[in-house]
Amino acid sequence: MSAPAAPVQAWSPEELADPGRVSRRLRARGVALEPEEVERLHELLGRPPRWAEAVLFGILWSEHCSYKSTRHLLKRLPVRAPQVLIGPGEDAGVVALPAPCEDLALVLAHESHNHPSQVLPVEGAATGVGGIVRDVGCMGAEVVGVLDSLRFGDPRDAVHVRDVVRGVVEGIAGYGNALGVPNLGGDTVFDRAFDSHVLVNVMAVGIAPRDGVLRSRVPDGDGPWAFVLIGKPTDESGFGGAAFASDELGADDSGDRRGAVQLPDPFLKRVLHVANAEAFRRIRARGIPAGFKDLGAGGVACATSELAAAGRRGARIALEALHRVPRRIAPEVLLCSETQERYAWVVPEAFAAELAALYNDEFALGRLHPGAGASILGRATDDGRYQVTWHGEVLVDCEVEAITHGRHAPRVARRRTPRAPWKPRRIGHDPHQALLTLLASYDLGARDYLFRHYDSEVQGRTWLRPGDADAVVIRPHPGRALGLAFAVAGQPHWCAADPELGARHAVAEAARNVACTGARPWALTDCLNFGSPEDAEVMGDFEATLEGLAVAAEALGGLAAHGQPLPFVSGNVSLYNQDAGGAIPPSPIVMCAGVLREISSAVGLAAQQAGNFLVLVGASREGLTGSSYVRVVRREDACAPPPLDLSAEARLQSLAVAAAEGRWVRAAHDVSEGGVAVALAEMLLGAPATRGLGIDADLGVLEAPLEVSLFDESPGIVFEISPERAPRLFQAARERSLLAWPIGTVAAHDTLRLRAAGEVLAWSRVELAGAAESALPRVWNEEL
Amino acid sequence: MSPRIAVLQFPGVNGEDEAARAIQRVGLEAGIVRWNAPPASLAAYDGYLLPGGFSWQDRVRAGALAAKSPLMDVLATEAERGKPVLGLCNGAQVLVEAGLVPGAGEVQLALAANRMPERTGYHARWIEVRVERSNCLFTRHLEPGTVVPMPVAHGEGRFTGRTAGTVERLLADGCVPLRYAGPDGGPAEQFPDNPNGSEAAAAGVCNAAGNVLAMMPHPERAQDLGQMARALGGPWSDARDAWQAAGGTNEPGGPGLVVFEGLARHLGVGVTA
Amino acid sequence: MRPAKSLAQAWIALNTDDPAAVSALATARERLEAGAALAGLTRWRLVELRGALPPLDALQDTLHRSTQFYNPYKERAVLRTGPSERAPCGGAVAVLVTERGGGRRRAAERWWKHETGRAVEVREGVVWALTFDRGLEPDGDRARLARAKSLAVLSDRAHGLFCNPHAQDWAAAIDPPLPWMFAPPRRPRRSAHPTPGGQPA
Repeated sequence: MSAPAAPVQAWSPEELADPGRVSRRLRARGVALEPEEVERLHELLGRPPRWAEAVLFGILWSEHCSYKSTRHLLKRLPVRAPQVLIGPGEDAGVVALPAPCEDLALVLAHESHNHPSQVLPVEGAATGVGGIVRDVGCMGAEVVGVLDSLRFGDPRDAVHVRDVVRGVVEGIAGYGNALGVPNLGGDTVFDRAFDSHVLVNVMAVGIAPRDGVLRSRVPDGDGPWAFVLIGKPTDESGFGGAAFASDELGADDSGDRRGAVQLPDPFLKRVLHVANAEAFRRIRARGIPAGFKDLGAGGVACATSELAAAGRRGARIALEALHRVPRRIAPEVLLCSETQERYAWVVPEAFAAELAALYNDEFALGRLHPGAGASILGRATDDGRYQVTWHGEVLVDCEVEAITHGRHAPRVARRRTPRAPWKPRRIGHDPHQALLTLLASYDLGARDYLFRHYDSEVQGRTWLRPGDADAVVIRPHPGRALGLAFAVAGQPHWCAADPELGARHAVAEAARNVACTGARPWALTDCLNFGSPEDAEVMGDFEATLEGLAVAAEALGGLAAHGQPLPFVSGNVSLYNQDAGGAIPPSPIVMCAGVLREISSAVGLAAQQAGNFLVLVGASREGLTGSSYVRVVRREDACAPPPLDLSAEARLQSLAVAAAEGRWVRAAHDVSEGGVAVALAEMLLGAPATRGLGIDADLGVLEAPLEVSLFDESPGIVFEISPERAPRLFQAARERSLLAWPIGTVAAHDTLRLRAAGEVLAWSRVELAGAAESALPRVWNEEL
Repeated sequence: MSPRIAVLQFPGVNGEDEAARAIQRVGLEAGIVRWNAPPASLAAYDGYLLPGGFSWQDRVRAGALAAKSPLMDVLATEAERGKPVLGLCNGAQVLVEAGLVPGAGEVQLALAANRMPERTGYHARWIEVRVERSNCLFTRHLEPGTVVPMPVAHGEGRFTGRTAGTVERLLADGCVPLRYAGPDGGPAEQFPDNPNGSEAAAAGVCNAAGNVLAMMPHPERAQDLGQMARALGGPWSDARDAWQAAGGTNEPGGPGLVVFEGLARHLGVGVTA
Repeated sequence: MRPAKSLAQAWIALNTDDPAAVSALATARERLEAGAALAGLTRWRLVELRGALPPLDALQDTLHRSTQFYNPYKERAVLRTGPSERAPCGGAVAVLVTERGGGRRRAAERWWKHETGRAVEVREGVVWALTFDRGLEPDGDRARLARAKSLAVLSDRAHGLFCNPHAQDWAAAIDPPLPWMFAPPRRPRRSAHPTPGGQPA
């Protein structure tokens, strides 16, 4: 395999006179450098860059890698708390766990894969899962779950929207199920605003020995250190279709679009992870220092240069040693290709051959996937230079400092006035039908049809799965009592109306869902999905969102560490979710991880036993602003979210945790979309049909108009508690200055009966279930 | 020393760890044996488990390539000598494709693509199986009619044969120890209680000697009582609720362990779940 | 623009090495009694369409638009709209495997209807194309088809791989007919076995 002749320089010194022209020419070849970045790079190197250097810096300085538009704003988020071991900045965040798992650490990562999922839903979503799993795996963790937060268009709009829905679900299922990582739920919203900009946010969680967390850097010490690349043979993924390869390098003469997208392979990832687990075991047992990093954007170039830079070293990479597909591919492409299912190790040279043999011979990756394996690529140096050669020819040669040199792109921000609360006009919709309409809507309908695509049970750790409780609960270490809870939130309608308040609600709801199961909110991750940073209003929304996230997180950390914020430990920003038709609504998506000291105290949402009391604790029912009722039943525009008192919210969550830890309550369910009526319907539907449970509730105690008592979405939790324990719950609410209303009882009659404002409403279980289960199957069966 | 069970790790399987845990939980030892281990090393084990997952990426057909593994020749010989063999999900597909179930080396069945209303492909949910009269060593300690909840998760789980009535005949011969159960505890007539359209509602099929069992559900993912799906009722759920309400101490085993207890009893080990 | 036809086949293969074919070839050569002579193995997904099809260019374009049929980023499709056009497995023995009672692609049919307003029927199967070592190659087409059958139809661990006859149907041909899945050819030329899916769809 001989290399094609590569052009030495990406531009000539003369061309620098017109950096805009250079930028446009580069963009046409798949290299994204803004005009001022062309000048900056020239200055940094003191010469025009070689092609591979231009590609490398194009990626390093991309919005995705450099956060150049947002980094200064992200500083607003609280990231420190006693439980944080590694905060934002690495591939994943790491937090300590309490006894009986104080020897373990929880690893959390959160990313978006929005645009690829819009273009190719199956592969885009699958690659998203594959990438986030690597972010957790490269910390030396076992990946124990994935979650996904999906924002789809309105399925009624176009077959393409439905293709995206089906494809994304197929991609997530196909990857996670085969990889053997349980799906721990997430959330799904359908809204026309996402018709041509699907959001696919993926989160992964892992468990590592607390003293065995791996860092993505060349370790301290003399080494000498070797780079070992493992996994799929490198191909032209991410570059095959780009003019970069065909026009400039003459490498792609077949004319097809091979390699233009990243192709996920969960099978190879699974066998790679089995081999990685053995590698982790050996380096820990023998005390071998090591660095580990996943390969994502920028491929070998970014991974090896960042490993070197993070360890304050240089590197010499001999690219011809890389294992790759048996086709002629330009070395610049090999260096930067985004081929999936690869990791890079940096280990002592004395261990490198054994490590490579582990993948090549013991686990025989090449017999499982053509060309897969491990190769020793080069070594770390002390001269501070990052150098890549191809059969002796230099592809990259620059100071490591240039690589770590950040980028900042100042943007203009313009804050807007939040929308006003909804003004009630004449109400007068049939409340019986209104509940059925809400349950039958895409937003509020049962998610069971969707969850059935996912394996939530593999690994045998799952305790409360999607649909069982407000958060998913797993047992990270079998045989130990500790449980972990995870929940996701982010309401685009609320964020569109008031980005700051919407963001507060996102944090509060994620943490409240975790607290409903009895888990203490422990750490947060986020992904900020927005339009173009070049749009001042988008940046204004972004600022407001960060303010909202920060304020809420500062208020809700007390259950993990008194007086401390709930820390953001990992996150991601996805910009340019925008086209001529406008930007998506501001879409912060927040995951909260929580800790249960005793998993056996975990609380589900389903009604448990006839005769038990139902108690609502939380904000009083005062209006319908921001509610699904206004949007879905009244079909009126977005309006301000309901108010949120963060101090009361912290006390409400503290009550939920105390009630679960004390084993007073039998069920707990967050009042969110659809208000108390939908919450009660879901508690009824969550119970086994064979138990024949129903609910009798009298909402008159809420002293609100009928529709408000039914459908107000102000924060609250409905608890189920035995009559003997109920006084304890009321007392605990009083101690926390919280309002609590006895609203009804669990009944034995298979019916939801609600009394309010002199009316008696009743729905049979069959009627409620029929409505709730009606929406999603239509999307898969094209029955629209 | 406790009897040792080999858990076969074909490339792409992903249920080996929880399977090994379930084995250990009933007082047996578990050793994970990789696909490229020397086949002869298998003979030293006292029993075998083929875990769930996607062996060889379902290339050609689920279970088809693993069924041809040299390890399976050794397994077939040891099975003929009467050693216990349990295939779970993909492991069941391997046993059927290898001709170990219902037996004698000849392939007599298929685990075909699920048949479900309004959906195709992979499907995951908790279901209930009922124990049928058979001499299967994994279930014969249970009263026929006993109902056991556990999850299923697969795309190809429908037991079927070339000629109509193949699975019914196996049932009559006592080779279908587990069937999907409906709400009344009887054999499940329809989806979703029968989650894949399996003939005769068969969830597990064994050989005539009763020492090799291929089952599609996952008992190893139901080994904690507390992890049962909340949407299921019945005596196991009642026991879970009572245990939690009583303070959650002295954790009892989950429903799926009964299959492993059958294995432990057969190997003469007192159950210590 | 070529005129519209009522039948078409799309032969779809991966652009890259096909791990399924690589593994199946290795397994067949190492583990099947009749496998030693097998020299090459290629796999196609075969999608067959029947109905009021648009002219070739529009047909190509429609298939290209949705991953219901294939993914142009990782697969290539060769279209065949008449029996005189050769299938792309030239000279090899082609073994078609279909799911019994399955094979109809209802979702693809619904997609087509939404997209074009016309009804078509779509079936899908897998074709394995087998070539044999020169010298070990069986003599004559009849012997090659018989060898292919013994490799294809699963009966025990040493015999058969591609089709489990308890849930799948198979057919073998050296010149695959058009149609192959929707109806049996009127004159089963060089075909060793009745084609599957012969019942009216």
